[in-house]
Amino acid sequence: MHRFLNPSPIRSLFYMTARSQLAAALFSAAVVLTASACQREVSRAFRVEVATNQGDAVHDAEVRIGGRVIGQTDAKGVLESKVTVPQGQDLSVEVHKSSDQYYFAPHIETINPGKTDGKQVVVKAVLYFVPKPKLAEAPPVDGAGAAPGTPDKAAEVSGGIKDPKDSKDAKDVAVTADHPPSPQQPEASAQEPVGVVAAAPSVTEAVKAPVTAPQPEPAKPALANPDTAREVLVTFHVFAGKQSQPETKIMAMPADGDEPEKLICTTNVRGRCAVRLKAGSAWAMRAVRQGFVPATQELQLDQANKLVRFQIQKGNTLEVRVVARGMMSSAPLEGVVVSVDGKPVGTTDKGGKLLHTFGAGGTTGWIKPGASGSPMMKVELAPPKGFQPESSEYTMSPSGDLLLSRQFVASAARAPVVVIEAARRVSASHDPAAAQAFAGWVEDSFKRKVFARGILAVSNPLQKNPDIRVRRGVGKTGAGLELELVATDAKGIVISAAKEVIPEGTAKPDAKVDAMVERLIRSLPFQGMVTTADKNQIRVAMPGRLADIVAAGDRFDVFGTQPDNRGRKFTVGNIASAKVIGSDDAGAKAGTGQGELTLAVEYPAGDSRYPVARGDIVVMRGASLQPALVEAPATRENSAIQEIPAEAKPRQEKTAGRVSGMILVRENGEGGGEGGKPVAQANVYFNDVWIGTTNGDGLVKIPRDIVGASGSFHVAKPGLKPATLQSRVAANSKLEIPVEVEVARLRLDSLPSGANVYIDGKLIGKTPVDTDVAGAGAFLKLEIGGVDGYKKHASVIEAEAGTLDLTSERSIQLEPDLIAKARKASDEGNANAALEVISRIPSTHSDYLVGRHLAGEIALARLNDPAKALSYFEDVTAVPQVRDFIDKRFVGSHINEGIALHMVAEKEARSNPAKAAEDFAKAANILDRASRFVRFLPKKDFNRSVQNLEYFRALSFHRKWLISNDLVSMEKAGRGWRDYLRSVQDSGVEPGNGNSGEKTAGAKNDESAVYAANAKVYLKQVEAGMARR
Amino acid sequence: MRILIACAVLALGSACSTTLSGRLEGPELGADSLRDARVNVTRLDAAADDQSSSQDGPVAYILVPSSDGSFSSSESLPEGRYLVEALVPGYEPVSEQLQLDSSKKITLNLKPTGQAKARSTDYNADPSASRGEGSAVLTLPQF
Repeated sequence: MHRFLNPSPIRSLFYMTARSQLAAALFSAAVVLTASACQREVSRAFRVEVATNQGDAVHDAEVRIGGRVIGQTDAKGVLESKVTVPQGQDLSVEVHKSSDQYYFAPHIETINPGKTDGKQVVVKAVLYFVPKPKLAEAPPVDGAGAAPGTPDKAAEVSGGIKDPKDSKDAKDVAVTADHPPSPQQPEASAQEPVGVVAAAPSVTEAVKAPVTAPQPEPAKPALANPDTAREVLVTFHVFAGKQSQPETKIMAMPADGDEPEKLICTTNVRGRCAVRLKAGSAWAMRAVRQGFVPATQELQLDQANKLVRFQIQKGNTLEVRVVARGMMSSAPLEGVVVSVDGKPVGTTDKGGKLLHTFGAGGTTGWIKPGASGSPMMKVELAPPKGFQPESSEYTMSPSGDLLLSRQFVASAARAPVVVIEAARRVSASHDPAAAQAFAGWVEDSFKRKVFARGILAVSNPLQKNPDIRVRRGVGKTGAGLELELVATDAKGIVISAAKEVIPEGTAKPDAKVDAMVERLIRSLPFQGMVTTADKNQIRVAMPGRLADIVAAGDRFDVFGTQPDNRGRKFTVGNIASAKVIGSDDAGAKAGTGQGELTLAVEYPAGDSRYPVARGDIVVMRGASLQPALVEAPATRENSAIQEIPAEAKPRQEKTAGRVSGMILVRENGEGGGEGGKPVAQANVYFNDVWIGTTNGDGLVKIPRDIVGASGSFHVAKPGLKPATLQSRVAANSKLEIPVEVEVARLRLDSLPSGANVYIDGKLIGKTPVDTDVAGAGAFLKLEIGGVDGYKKHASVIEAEAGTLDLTSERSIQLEPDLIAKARKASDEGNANAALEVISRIPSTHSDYLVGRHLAGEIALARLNDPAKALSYFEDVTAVPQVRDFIDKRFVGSHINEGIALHMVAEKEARSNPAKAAEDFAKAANILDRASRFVRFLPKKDFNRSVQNLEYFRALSFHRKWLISNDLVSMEKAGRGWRDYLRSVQDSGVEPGNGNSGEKTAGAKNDESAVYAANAKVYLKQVEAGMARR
Repeated sequence: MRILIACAVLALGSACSTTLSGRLEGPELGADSLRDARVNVTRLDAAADDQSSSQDGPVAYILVPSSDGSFSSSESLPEGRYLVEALVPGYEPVSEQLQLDSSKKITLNLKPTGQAKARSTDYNADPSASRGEGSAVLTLPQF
């Protein structure tokens, strides 16, 4: 108090300040109180109900009203509280939920509680959520988040999403199949979690979340698609034991309706995937993973989201391989439905394959198929429409991995397209009239016998690649007309042949041609299917009306599936052969486009372990050899009787069951001796029945059917004289048939005549010539020349056996040799006269381009007129084939064009440096382009030409640099000079160093040395320029 | 007086300049042969690690001779030892070393090596051979 009565000046100041502050405080308080008195507050009862977008209550969600935390939701996801709020003002209500397992998007809305008239304010908050990725728990042991090896009991029992580390989170949501959300929350369950993924903390993480769109109906954001209210989210979780299974395909098929099974999602690394499906729909679901037995579940959806758990187990694999066998080629067959024990398990893919995993039934070890009590598995294959058989069944032992391969034939496939043409080479006794007649007979026979029956289809003119080519050959021999038909496939391999001799004066030669065509057709590899099978007899359906023309004894191979002893592998094999013993009229199967045949089955070595069954495939092997065994052919020219003893140790062939020995066809050696080269692609007939075509070693197999028979082997090939060998065929014999090369006749004249004629470089006389040419059927090089003022004619002819007549109107017109004339004038120093001669060469003349090139050379070297030379060379290089370096004779023209342009630029350099720089660049580019084709330059001056190119390419860059000071050109010039000097060095030319002044021997080397010395100077300039830079 | 001083300064400057000039001589040396000629002047006593420039200036100079063969450095060169090299296509390079401590004039005598003349390349006239260098197959033209 005393102190207060004796204030010092400082104190006075203090007191003054304190008073001021106090006054201010009082004033402020008054203002606040006044303001406070002006704002009315009311108390309101709030009820906040928090649920997930799937309709499940969310506990412990934090509720803020007006920015203040008012509490957390209880276990039912509800918070009720009284809160004093300003009257009449808008307030924000925020609901937040944090979790270790899920991202929850906060719920924020604005309310005005003043408008509620004192009633309870109810706020319904919806929290969208997505699971948090478990990056730290890299191994996808448990999709539900359980630690490795920790069983997710809760999830197993309820299917609920639970985090064992966070027991609270286990109650956050309860998306269960067994515990659907409350019926009061249907709208909430229809919300789309995908729609809030973008609002979740991390898009990347959201993408990793096991929410994938179903294939049939891609998921759309819920907010953009109100129709999704009728869909529910179905999450699949696939386990094998306790391990989540990634890469598992979830297949679904509607329980009602005929929709096929579809892939709807594939599980992620955590063994999960999710799709949205229509609420209330019913499905048959399968979880399919390679190496595991598929698990199935029926799923009835209501209005709630569901978690579906699949438990799959490891199993054995059934591999199905299916091939569609065509007449000319085979291909994998897609779309074959595979059923196991009556249930479809899938269809073959583009590769004709299907892998199916099944449970390991039975025991280990092998089980004899069909053994009593063994757990057998029935596999059924159903090919797409149009293939036969319509289905095939197999009983397999499911005690290990299985393999089933099967072939089907296209019953309604298009008939192979055939083109009939004349043989490219005809026999020595070629008779044009006979050939024309034969063509007519063959055409007529094919129309009636083949095309009308739909066995083969006739080629239209636009058909570039027919399936089959039939070539007809005709020759006149002492016995009459010798006719041959040879069928080849698209690769040119002979697949069938037939021959016939029509003696002079035959009344109905076309009947013989008919028989020949039938034999040809009966040896094509047509395919059919076994419709019924008895022990030794089968009936087969054949395409088209082939059954009409097959004959008794015609041979077939039967292909069926052969099981192994364990009944685990069924593979396709040639299980038997068969012969025609009768044919039913095609009319019996009218409408099917097929006729049926009855075949007698023969099993190899009588082994019928794999009996022919319905659905097996038959392939025609060839016409019957029976006629060959009974007909005794007349002895023919060039025939020889040759008895060949059986070999002591017969060669073992893969097809030993059907083959007995070989025939070697070879050319007669010089003077008829042995050692001639084998003849490939020669047709071999036995008693006029085709038995095969020689391979590259001149060999053809002898069918066992003709063992013991006597008769005549006949060899036919264009360019060879027909050869015949009389023989009795012993088992495992090796026959050798020597053949002689036919001699062709060449009649040739030229205009003008008197020219030398060379065949393969050998002078055979002066035109006109009429001479034999050995080696008919081959390509021969024909040269005619030696007439002054005319060009040498050179061509390749196919010296057909017979007479090649190139006389009268077919005489060879020799072209005037204007090039030689021009060269002569140029060599005599008359360059302009040379150019005048060249200008007379028409553009159609074969020497036109050569003439333009020569004119360019004359203009460049003799007239020193680079502009003119450039024009000539440009004429050559403008021709597309030369421009594109297809015609590689004129690479020199490109080089000369570049050099001529360089020289033009040199002349321009003083008057028009800019244009010169441009032309130097062009010249360098032309030379650069030509440099890639120098290997096509003539050998005689290859090195010189290359050095020339490199020199002027470098010089063009150099000059461009000097004119425009272009550093890029300088660098290119430097590189060019170095390349040039290196190639000069490689060629042995000493460029000299400028100081020694040494000379190299020879004019050419002198010239090169000058170039090299200059190049060295230019290179030094570039190096100086670079140092300056 | 001012003029005198100026002249004295100029004279002094002139006396201190170290320019290089000279002339190229040789048989048949004319405007055409001198078109691409260059005289390369390289300072030999520059620091080894200073290839492009020094405090005194660059170490290399390229002089372009005129059509009569004369050449001259347009600027004063730093004093030092130089290699002067005449690079004239068609002539052997000729060089001379000199110590430049004052303006100098030199003559370089060139020795001809011959001018490179364009040579044409023939077409491949032997289609029967059907193969060029490297056994490449030739394709005949289709008319």
